[in-house]
Amino acid sequence: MDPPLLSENGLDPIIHVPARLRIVVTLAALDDGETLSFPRLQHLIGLTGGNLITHLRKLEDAGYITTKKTGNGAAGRTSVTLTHLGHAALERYTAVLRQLLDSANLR
Amino acid sequence: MNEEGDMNSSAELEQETTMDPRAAEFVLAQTRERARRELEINYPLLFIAWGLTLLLGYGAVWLAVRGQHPYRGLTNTGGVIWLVLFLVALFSVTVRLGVIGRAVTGVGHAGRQWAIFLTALPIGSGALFIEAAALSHAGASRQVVGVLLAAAPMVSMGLVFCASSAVRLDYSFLALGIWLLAVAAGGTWASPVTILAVYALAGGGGFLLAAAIQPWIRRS
Repeated sequence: MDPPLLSENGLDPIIHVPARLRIVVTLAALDDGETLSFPRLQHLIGLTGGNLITHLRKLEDAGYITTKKTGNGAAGRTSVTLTHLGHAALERYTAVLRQLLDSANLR
Repeated sequence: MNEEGDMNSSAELEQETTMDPRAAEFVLAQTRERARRELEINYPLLFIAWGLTLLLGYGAVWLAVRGQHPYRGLTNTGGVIWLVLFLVALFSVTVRLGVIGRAVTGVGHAGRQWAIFLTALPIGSGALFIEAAALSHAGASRQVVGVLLAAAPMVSMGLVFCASSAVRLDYSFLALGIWLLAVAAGGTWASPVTILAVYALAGGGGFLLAAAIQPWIRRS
């Protein structure tokens, strides 16, 4: 999967949105490969269900997360995992953010 | 996803792209802190709950039987001791479920691991209690049965902690498991009354010490 085009300041535009940043950082707090249920993630992030789905789709299209659905119909459960690509993207984002803030402090 | 609700317009998404780096840093730090608070198990609190359970539980039984010569066990000691033990058990279960449940709800493997762990503890003790009953039925003395009944929870906890440490690769759990087994084994050389005091202080004390040093262990 090709990495996303970066914005002018070098920050990944997929992650550089408050809701998606919160999603990625929350998933990164789990152990490698650990999954988080949709309801729990929604509770932690504080978004409506539809809004959260929209952001999760963007992240999944970029390859940063995977979603898995178990069960059928009303009993089905969706869980979300941060991929290795997602971990790496967050690390890059954090490093670029740190550089931007450090250079802003030096001016 | 079966949780689909209303689909908001892209306008709400677009307005979020104007976040400046300082705002991003704030969101990053705030989210990390919230995730740490919500998703990490409060091990010091958990170990304090376990420590107090052993201290109060074994301590209460020791207080009830300490004057017995010869040893008779908890028979004819009145209902107060059973009420105390029930309250201690209730406290222990409530705190454990609260501390663990809060952190692992919705978390895939961790939730299942802890459910198995918390189920294995009483099952292990229960199996040993049944053994004690069988020994009593076979004619073993009250002293022998008393020692086994006292040791059952400690042995069960020690084994479950050791096994759990292998699954979770958690050396603090291994250390606690080995300590509990050592205390359980060493204590059985004492009388059925003294063993209760040993388990209360050494078993409960071990957990309280673990609670005190947890922040340093987790950091390293």
